[in-house]
Amino acid sequence: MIPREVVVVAEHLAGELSDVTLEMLACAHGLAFSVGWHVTCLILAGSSS
Amino acid sequence: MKDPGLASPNPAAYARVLPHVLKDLSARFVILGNTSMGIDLAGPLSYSLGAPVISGCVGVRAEGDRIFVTSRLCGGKLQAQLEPGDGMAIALMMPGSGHRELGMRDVVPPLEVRSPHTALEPLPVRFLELVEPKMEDIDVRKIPVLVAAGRGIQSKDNLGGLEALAKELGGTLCATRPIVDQGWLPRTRQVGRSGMTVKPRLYLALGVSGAPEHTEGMKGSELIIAVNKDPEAPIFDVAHYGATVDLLELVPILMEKIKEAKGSQ
Repeated sequence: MIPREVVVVAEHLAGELSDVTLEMLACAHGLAFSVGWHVTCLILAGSSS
Repeated sequence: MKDPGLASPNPAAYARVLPHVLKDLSARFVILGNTSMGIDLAGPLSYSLGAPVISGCVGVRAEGDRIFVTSRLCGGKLQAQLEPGDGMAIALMMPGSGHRELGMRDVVPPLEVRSPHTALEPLPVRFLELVEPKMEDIDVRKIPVLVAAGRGIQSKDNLGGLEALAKELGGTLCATRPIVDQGWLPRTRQVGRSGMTVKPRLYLALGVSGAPEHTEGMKGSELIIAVNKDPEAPIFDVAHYGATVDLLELVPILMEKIKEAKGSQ
């Protein structure tokens, strides 16, 4: 079975997502919505906040 | 993904963690920013995962299980439609190619916190400190009204009129690269691929031809009004409104009309 996961690797600084991350999420949502896939946003960080 | 080693932006740490996570998630399509971070990451990820990288991505669509990516080539002069294979693919998304508002959601999605599978020390590169660039001039990215000067202004002497217009509109002056290269405005005012990416409420492009290198940095503006004598100028492809008149004749009239409008309020 072909995987159907779209993964966005977030860029962030000082607790805020960058504009390009939101643009990537918009692209991922559009792609996933059209074919019924799933979107995951990966945030690599030093803390959960 | 949470770990003290990930507290600071460090492509070396990210590149160590991400292959495991992406495999765990069975990712089919991975989107990174076409930014310094994304570009640093794409190579190691591609090597670790055996996944192709498509850079300069400005659009993605799917048909069934097939993915089609639009990618910019030759500095934006050409676009290519590409189809990655059935396996995982990595795309580097150009900043400004999407609508950030569409990336937001009213509801908080399910959150899962994981720890890395691998140790993050030692790393080949260590993050030492974040150095903010010195802004010795106005930061045009934060100005809601921008008046842009292109080669159509003809002479440095004409910048004064545009600057006055920008001031009257409550904004500031920016420019295309040729204007900056001639030393007519500082580099901090340059908009485009080799300058700033701006998204003001109003972008008034005066004498701007609309080369891809420039439009890449301003096409996300809320309202773009272009003035250029050449009706074929590509700036009109991204402008919401346009006028094919001589800007040097238009600017004084515009100034007068704005002052009149302000006076009648």
